[in-house]
Amino acid sequence: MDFGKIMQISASGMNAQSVRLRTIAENIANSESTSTAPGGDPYRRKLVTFKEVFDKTAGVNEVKIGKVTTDNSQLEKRYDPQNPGADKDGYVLMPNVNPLIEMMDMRQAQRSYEANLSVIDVTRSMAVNTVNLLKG
Amino acid sequence: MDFAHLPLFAMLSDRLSWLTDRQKVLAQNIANVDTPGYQAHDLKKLSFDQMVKGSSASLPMMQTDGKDISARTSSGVGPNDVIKPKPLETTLSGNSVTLDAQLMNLQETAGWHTMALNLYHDQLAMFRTVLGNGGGA
Repeated sequence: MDFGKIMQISASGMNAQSVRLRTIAENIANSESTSTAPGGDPYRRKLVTFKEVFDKTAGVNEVKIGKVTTDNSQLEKRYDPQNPGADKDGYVLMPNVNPLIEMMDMRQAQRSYEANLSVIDVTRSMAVNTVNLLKG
Repeated sequence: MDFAHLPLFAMLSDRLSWLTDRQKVLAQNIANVDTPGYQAHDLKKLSFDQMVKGSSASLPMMQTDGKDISARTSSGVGPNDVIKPKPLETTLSGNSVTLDAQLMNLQETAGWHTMALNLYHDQLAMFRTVLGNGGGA
């Protein structure tokens, strides 16, 4: 039945968006994770990529999670000689996580998730209406 | 009697399958709202003219032998073609899905679906009235 396929597509979208949300949560949680070894690298921001995948059994285009990459942008230095991760000059490399960007990304993921959810909602009501033809 | 051979029922069934197909295409668009390079799709509009012409043209061919290919049971419209409409806007990543437009199309399609189902239902009720089965709309 086609309604099932529609829900499958939307479910794949919701799944992709929730993986994205999970990654954002990971980024925010690690926004202060510095290295424990002197002069070592801190946590780097993770990025999720999406790609379109054709599901042969259902004959529909779904969305899947592609590679999870790391953001290799410039790391900020902070003067903190007491930190175990400080180099010989007393500077610590901070993670390149910008809470503002993460928040915006999160809202966008949420919005896309809700859009997929409303597709399921509308499709379900269409299916219910069809079944209600039986009521005569 | 085969309902599928009645012009109105054939048209309604084509309409319903078109609406379901469109819903599938819209669901794909919405699922891929953040996929880089994804182009939004839509279905070619169902031509009412063609449906009317196709269903009232002449008497349909009948099956006289089991090996015959079944006479058409649809109103004569072609397959539901997927088209790429001109994008309203394209993001830097090459994605041309506009979420609000897609959601509007989705609700519109659901509304049409309800309408087609109600027409189908009322048409059946008329049949029941004629049959005197205590039916009636």
